[in-house]
Amino acid sequence: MSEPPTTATGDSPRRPLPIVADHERPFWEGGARGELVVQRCRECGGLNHPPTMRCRHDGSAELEWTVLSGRGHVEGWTVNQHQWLPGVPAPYVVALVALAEDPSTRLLTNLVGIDPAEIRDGMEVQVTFVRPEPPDDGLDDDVWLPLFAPAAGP
Amino acid sequence: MTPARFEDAVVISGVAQSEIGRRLHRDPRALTVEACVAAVADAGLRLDEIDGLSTYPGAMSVGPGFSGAGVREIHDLLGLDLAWCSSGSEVPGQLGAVVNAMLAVAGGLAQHVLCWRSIWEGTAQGSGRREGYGAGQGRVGGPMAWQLPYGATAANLAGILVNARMNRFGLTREQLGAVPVGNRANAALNPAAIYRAPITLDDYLEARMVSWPLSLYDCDVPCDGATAVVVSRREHAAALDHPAVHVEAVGCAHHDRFMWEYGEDITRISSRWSAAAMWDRTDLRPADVDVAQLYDGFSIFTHCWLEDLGFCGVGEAGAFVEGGTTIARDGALPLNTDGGQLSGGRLHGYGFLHEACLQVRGQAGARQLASRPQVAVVGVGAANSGTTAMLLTGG
Repeated sequence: MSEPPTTATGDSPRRPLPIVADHERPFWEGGARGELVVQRCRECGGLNHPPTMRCRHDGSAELEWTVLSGRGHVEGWTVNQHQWLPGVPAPYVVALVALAEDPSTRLLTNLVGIDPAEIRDGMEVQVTFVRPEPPDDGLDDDVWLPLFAPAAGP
Repeated sequence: MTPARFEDAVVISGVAQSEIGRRLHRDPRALTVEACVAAVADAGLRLDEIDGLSTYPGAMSVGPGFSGAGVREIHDLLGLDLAWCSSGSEVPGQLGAVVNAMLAVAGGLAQHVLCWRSIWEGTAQGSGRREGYGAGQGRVGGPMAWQLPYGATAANLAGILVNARMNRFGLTREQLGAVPVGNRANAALNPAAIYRAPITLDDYLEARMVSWPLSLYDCDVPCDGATAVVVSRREHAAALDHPAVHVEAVGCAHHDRFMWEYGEDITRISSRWSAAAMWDRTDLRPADVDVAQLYDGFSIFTHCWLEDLGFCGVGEAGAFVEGGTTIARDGALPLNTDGGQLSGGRLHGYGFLHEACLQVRGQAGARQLASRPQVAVVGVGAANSGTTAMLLTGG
């Protein structure tokens, strides 16, 4: 098996931004406070991501926002080497991170601050946030993207 | 009383393709009409006998090149008189439109339904009319809102799938190269294929990375072309001048979310659900299958289909295809005998159905298998977007 490239950028100031729906806003804006905010069901305690309107585990409408530890582990990853987006220069790591509080819930994200050759299945990571430059379209959404970096030692 | 199976009420009476090319610079409606008229003639029908239309994805204003012609355009261009029609993209994979046609015919809403998939991504990309992912968009909505801010595209999600299978199942790049190399060998016998010059495993291994460990030859090739299929009532089989293609079983199930990155298991795709549903509707078993035409929008999808259809265990497709002997034309399970989408062009699922029908009819020309297949399996669709599995038999 070939080795992955040894450099990857985490700094992509001109990323496309999500159109934020009302029921998704706390997730996107939690990063302003350094908080990973995910939707949780009051009835069954299950996490839901992306945010929903009825719990995907038990159908309950009793959904609330919870601040998580921001810890998780790498469930899957790839090193993108093709430039798809003008504002996101390659290479960069696209990853799936399983959340510590409920590993069946995962986020699609980028891994930053790590040599791609050092990434391992299951490695512990910690959230970090970036606030991309918003387009000049008059919206005042304050979108912060949760990215992940290697967790500090135990 | 056992309810009647819709599969038993229908036959695939005609198939055809338009001219196919990397960039044809032709009106996609002309390509669509070309395929449709030829398929109707192949079915032994006149245009005025077609009373149903069904297509994927239907007319679309976004993604230039993704849809060549919708139902209303073809209805008007062919001057048809319809009893039923349907189109759309939210179906169980691209072949969902053909399943809809089968249900309409079996249910008595139509006698002969003309189905097609038309695409012109090659010309659209080449002319600059198809924008790249997210180009010019400051903000993105829908499922892409969870992907593009991270620079994540379909190729990246496929790269994650490949890497997860390497880490957990021991899949190697040499094994992953077997389908692209084998498909290319098959494409040499298909005059309509986009790429026909053979490639070696070394060529595969040296190709540039797109999203490590997924490389260039793991990706299908955008093209222009249309495929059309006619679904008729079973009674029409006797009127055909070629063997009818019977539908033994269809599976469309999807017990999962429809977002690739949030599926239950990141090493699997939705073929796991449709393949199981298909086998539930037949007494035939994987050992009865003579030829397989399995989706290869990314080469790793074919691995998933092979496993989920039961030709090998989950995680064992790498070993199954390694070296290419088993999946070669003269192997135990000939695979993608027209070159698939990796070499034949991204006809978006319908090339597999077209090839399966020709092989079962014994009319695949230079690439016809030495022993005419009696049973063919078609698996179309990818990732977690919904899929259709279809088992076809010769008349």
